[in-house]
Amino acid sequence: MIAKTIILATALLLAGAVAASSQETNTQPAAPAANPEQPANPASPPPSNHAPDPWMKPDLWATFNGDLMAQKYAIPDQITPDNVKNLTKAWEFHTGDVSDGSGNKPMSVWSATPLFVNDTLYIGTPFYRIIALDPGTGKQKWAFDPHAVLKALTQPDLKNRGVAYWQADNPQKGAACQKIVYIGTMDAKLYGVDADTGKPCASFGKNGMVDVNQWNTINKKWPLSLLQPPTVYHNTLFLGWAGRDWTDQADPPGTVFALDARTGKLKWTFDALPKEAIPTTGTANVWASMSIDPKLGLLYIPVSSPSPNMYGGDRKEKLPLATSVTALDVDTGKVVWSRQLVHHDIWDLDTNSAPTLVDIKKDGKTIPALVQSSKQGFLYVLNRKTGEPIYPIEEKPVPKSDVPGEQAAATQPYVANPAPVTPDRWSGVFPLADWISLGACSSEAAKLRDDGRFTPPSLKGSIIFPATAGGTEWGGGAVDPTTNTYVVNSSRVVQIYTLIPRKDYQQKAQNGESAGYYPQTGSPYGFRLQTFLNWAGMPCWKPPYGTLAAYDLNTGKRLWNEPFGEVQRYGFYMPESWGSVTIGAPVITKSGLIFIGASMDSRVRAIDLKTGKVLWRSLVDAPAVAMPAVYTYKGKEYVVFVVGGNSILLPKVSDQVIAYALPK
Amino acid sequence: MSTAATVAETDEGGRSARPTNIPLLLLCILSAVGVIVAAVDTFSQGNGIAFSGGAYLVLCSTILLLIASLIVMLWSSGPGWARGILLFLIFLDLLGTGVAAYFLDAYLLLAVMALGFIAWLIVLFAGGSRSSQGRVVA
Repeated sequence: MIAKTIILATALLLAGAVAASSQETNTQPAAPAANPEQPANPASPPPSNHAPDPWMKPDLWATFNGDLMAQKYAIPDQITPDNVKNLTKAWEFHTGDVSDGSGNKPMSVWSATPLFVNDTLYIGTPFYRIIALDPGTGKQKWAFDPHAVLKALTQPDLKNRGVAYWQADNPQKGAACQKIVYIGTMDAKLYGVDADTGKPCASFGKNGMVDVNQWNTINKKWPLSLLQPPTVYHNTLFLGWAGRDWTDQADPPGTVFALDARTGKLKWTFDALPKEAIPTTGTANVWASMSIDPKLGLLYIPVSSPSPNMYGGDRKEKLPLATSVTALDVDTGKVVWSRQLVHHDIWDLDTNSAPTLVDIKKDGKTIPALVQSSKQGFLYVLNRKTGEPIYPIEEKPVPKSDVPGEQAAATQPYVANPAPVTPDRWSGVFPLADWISLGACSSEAAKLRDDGRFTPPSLKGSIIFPATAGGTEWGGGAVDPTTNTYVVNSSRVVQIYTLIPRKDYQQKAQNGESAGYYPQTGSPYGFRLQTFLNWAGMPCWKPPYGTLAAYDLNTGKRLWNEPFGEVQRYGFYMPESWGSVTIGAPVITKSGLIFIGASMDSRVRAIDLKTGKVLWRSLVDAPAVAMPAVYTYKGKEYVVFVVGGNSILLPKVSDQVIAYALPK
Repeated sequence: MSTAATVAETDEGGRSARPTNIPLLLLCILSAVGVIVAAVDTFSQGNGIAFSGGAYLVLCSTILLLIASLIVMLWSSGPGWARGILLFLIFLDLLGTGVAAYFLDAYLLLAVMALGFIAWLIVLFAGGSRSSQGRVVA
């Protein structure tokens, strides 16, 4: 709002905002063959005798991303751009599983997508309970409590992104565990319970639990935290995990596990790192969600960066599957193709979301495509059968490292079309923030290394943009497959990376999730991560801090790009034109609406897909950093948000589940 | 009720006591309403600003506004310069609280501050001058 901007500029309201990053982990082990930096089209797709699971109907919201192709597209069309203004609360439920960190439990961070399947709404909580709700009333049907360890074993907060669901193709009536709901815990335990009763499935693992940490045997330093629910297809659970970033040089390698959905038995594993690299590195794990082309039988995994995340002097060998999007054969785990998105990653630019699968129309042809969003702000549009770019990816020279021992990659992949969600350079010092800081912002900026995209970390400190905070975070984008309109939210966060020689590194403990000192033990350098803020906590860079954009995937053209959400600090809302850092993801409905939470201002919104204009908004108890579920139940369309908050945005938490519907 | 700007109260001895200035009374009432609205904003969970620093700030500022308004109304015998300073501080409080309310999206509080500002203008230019305070209306 212009008025707010004017008042701000003249009245000197302390504001402040935002911070940083996100990301959760990394890892990985030995990889298949793999050639150099560039990927990786070793095999042709497997013979296509695959088909979607019969129970996974398109009118369900049965997976973390709504469907296996991560389209986040809802077919209910009762709520339209014309009547969305009438949307009201249908019901509300509070789980009780919330912690602000003031007691003996760490703060809760709740990003669970509710699942609508089996005529039930299933949610996982940050205390690792499963709760089954009536989708029309929000009344609890049952709850399962694994009595999980509620300690910050890997992440600084208690995190959960929900549950997964599986059912037999032909469930036997009266038999238990023909339908199973799964939840993972921070200490690497995967529980499977009967979807109708909530009772543990005796046939799954040991009395309903698989201890995934049994396979944590290399560079074991912490448990393989199961925060992201598994991806389910053809009676198989595909499982990645999260660990602890930035603490060590050699971390557990990022194995992906394929488990039998009924028994929990291991079917195959995939490792993105070659065995010979393990002594000095690790991670390159898959901590975000995955997508599947059920007809091609391909599993698409977003592979994160290797450790240590900010210094690669001791891992100069080619690690072609690290920081990549990789397609695996669902039956064997073998690599079908892989494309590295950042070479020799020294910025922690994990590939961090499930690629969105969609068939696009280009030059008169229908091409099976995927869209991979990224922290670096590029949207990579690839042929999902082969991994070849549909829109060009150009290798461009990038700045060299000046850190002794480091050797940054000479080039990095750039995408010009579709236009990146973040600009190539940071926006420059924000005069208001500079004025409030008596010039500290500009003087600090002048001292730092700043050579544009892919400026390497340095001893004097480097301005990194886009940095580990994104770009686009783990939610990824959504697509309307009828028009191939792709929508994605993003953040613009400027961060400072400083390497500290080991002899000078005095800090004993790792700091917070988005800023602090991190030891990278075993490497020659510790590391300091800062978000570029002034003393008042106000960003030193010019807004906007977050946007929501729509693209026509058939041409790559950006249709609109609007500041999204509002920064909130000390209760004060900043101008809408500033936007907000976002964590979460949009959902698109058939009627042409976008539903999204994601912003700092604790609001959920409905947006016109055609114009990007906000048509409806509602206040909730905390930032709604989970993607919503949209479904029709007993003839009525519901939009359900889990409202949990995220310490990266605000120290504001909640246990609210809220459903909206049109009044009768 | 008199429609005049100022009403003098008479004590039992027939002596003219504290004159009641209606614009000032209005300002006091609006300040009190401001305190109530700010308190509701501060302590109503789920309104987006409850228990935030900004909410506590406007709660404090409205309490100060009420105190200052009461002093001006009740301390009619005070020196002119003190009254002038207080009126200036009241103006700053109204302005600051209004701006804060705007950024808190606390629009009811903003409206109360806007009304308070109108009352303040009346106090300043119409009914609030010292010369008018002594006016006795039958």
